[in-house]
Amino acid sequence: MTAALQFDGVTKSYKSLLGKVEATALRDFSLSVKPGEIFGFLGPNGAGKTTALHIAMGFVKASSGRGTMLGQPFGDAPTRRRIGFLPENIALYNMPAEKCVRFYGALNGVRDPGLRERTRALLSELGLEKERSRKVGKFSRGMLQRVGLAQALVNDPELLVLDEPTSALDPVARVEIRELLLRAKAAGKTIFLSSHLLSEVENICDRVAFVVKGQIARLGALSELLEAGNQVEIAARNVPRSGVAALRVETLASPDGVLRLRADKDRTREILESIWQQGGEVLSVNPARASLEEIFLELAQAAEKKENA
Amino acid sequence: MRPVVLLAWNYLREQKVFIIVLSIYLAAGTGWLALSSETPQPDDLSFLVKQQVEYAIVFGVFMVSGAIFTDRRTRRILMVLAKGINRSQYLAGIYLGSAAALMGYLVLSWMASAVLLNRVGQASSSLNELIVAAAVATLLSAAIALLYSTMMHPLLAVMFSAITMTVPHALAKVVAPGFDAVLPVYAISGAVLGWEPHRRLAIPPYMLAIGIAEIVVFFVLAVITFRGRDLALSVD
Repeated sequence: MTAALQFDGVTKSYKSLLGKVEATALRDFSLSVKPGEIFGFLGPNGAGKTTALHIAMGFVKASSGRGTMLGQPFGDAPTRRRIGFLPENIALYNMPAEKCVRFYGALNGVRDPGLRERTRALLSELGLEKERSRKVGKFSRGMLQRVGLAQALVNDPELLVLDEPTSALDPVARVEIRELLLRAKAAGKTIFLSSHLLSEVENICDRVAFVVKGQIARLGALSELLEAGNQVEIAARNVPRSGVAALRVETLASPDGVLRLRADKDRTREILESIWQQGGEVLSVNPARASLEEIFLELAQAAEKKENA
Repeated sequence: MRPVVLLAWNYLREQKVFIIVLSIYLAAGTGWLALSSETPQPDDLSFLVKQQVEYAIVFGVFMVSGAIFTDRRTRRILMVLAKGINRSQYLAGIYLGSAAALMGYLVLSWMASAVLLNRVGQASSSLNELIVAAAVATLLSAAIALLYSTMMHPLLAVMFSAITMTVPHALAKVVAPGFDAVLPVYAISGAVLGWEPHRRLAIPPYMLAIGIAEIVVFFVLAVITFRGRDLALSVD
């Protein structure tokens, strides 16, 4: 099966006028996004995420390596008709929202009456129905982001490339966009999502890649990445304080009065028996999961240490 | 072709204030001279016509020099080039939009000049030649500016465009007169300045032909240069 998006050993160095390398944004970067998946693209600021997106879209040329989008080389104009792109900094021509979305749709070869119908449907879905005659120059950042999403979706793309699509949205709008993306996935579309909002990524992505210093630091299915190895998480209550210390395990924050413990799997039985013997009540036993935030911080700190060393 | 027309139309829309101001300037100037109780002097009118036509060449350079820069600085260019168009279509849209604005200005100048010359009883038979020659020079200067605007700041693009247009004339003065035909903007501009309503324009047709061919050459060079540019980089 052809990858929806593929990078093969892409390196991007920025050079001075004299040809001296000033910065390397991507180093031998390889990645493959499968059709139909929602792929989370994570990493700290300056990791090279946006550069990778810009190379894929053909805005920037790779110094070496190559890649494909929907099976065609990066920068292929006819292929971009099948793609929806939302940049991090949304900059639209100052015209009424409906005209604006129609303009970008028309650039992608979408024609009336389909263009008019789809534009109106999207503006309505994104909560901009009443604002469609207002010029986008007067819009808040959140509203601009919605218009940006509408223009990315107006051509009914096979692949959506979204750079921070919900960064300026309030929680209600974020949920709406999340549902919209899930509907797009259900309709068979591929979504490549670069975001700093880890909870959002955790909620909707099938696979995730962490980029650090221009390279993939970790890549895998979300469920695999979040599995914290050979550990279990136990929730219990009514365990005396002295008993907790005797268990010799990591205790997690428990604001609700429930004791949460993390321990190696092979000690599960021993700990459960100990809790019962002390009169405690076991509420749940689950495989321990790390959060994306924990992984993100761990990778960012490791990269910082490496750089300092 | 449709994306090019869309981009050109959008460019005109973005430049509407500039276009409106120019139109008002022409309409007001013409109206004032046409309706004033005193009949204007033929020499004054001739000077006014030449001045208006020369402006088009200057406007061409200034309009085009800043177009790509503005789109790159605001990053609007990314959302345009994320669509199914290639960079040559984007450049063609900007160039077509500029050309439409400049030709509109020249057509208005032509109409205003015809009205005024008619008022003083001057024959305006060579006015058409003047406008055609000015159109070629304007479009060529805009194409030169388009080339430089793909790779540098607008002020530098204006400066390099001016140098490029002047060098052949300097060589014509120093080395051989034939150099004027190499890049005939300056030669046409000189002929425009020497224009008189009752005489034919002193510019040979082959120079106009060279000018038209060079519009294509500079546009192609601009496309080749622009194709290799990294567009997501800061341009400030």
